[in-house]
Amino acid sequence: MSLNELNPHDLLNDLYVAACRALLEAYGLTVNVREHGGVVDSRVKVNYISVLSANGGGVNLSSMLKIDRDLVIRMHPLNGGDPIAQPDLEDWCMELNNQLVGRLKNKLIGYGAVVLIGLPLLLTGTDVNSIASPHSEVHQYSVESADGQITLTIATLVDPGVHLEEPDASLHEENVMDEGMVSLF
Amino acid sequence: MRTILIVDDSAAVRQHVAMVLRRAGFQLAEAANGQEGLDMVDSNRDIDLVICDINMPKMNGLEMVEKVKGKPENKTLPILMLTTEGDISLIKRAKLAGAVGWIVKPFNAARLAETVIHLIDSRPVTG
Repeated sequence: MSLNELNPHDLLNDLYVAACRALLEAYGLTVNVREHGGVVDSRVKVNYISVLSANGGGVNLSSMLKIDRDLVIRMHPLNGGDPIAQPDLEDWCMELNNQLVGRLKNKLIGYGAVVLIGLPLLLTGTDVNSIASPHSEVHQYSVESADGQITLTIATLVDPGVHLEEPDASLHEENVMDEGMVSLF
Repeated sequence: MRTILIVDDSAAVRQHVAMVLRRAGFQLAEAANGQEGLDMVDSNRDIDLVICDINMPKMNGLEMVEKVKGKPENKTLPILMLTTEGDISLIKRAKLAGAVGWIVKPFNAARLAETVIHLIDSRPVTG
């Protein structure tokens, strides 16, 4: 491995956590992120779970976002108006995972990796846990905010021949539009 | 009243965009995927601007743009992309297909409304 090469799994995990912080900050939340699940809240809470995969160039990843119902409501764009129906809360859980993986994808472009994002799925049930390929590296994070908790699980599988280099800042600027930006042609 | 078509598989995104643009004085129509969006443009000649996501089931946004703008009667219809995608290669493809702009989610409500107003006001008047 050259000096500029990065452990791809470590990189994906770091970018994933950074993407989560940035996403929640964009929605006005200050969060504490801890690996390996953090503090387990023993109260029975309603939560929503979305799974979304992204693959390309030898990089395969899956994001499972499990979010407390109260936090989904807090982050929903129509919060503060009429009560939000359950299908709309489920939909927003999927959209949040979509925006999370989208941020990760945009960051990866600067490292020379281009992945295609699939369509988010919603899981329902009790005691739902992630299912990943036995060859995947799996990391779980607990994201604590004043309004509730998110449990993030990322499973990564990177082909042996894939090398991710330290990003070239100009490469990112030339090849990526950042979140919130508007461009008129 | 001018009409905006929002095409996104997320109901929450459609609702949010609709709320922002109704406050700016627009009427809204909604579609949940590119095929529905294409069908609505074909059947409703009163649409003044389309806002379109990329990653959707049945037909993605880029394909929808290519099909919509491939028809002469839609030559001046502005299509603004609203997506999590920031990949410049996709943006170039959308521009080539006839889209007029690109916003990376999450969007700022005021900027979205300003951008839509600007694009509609700038639209060439057809005879």
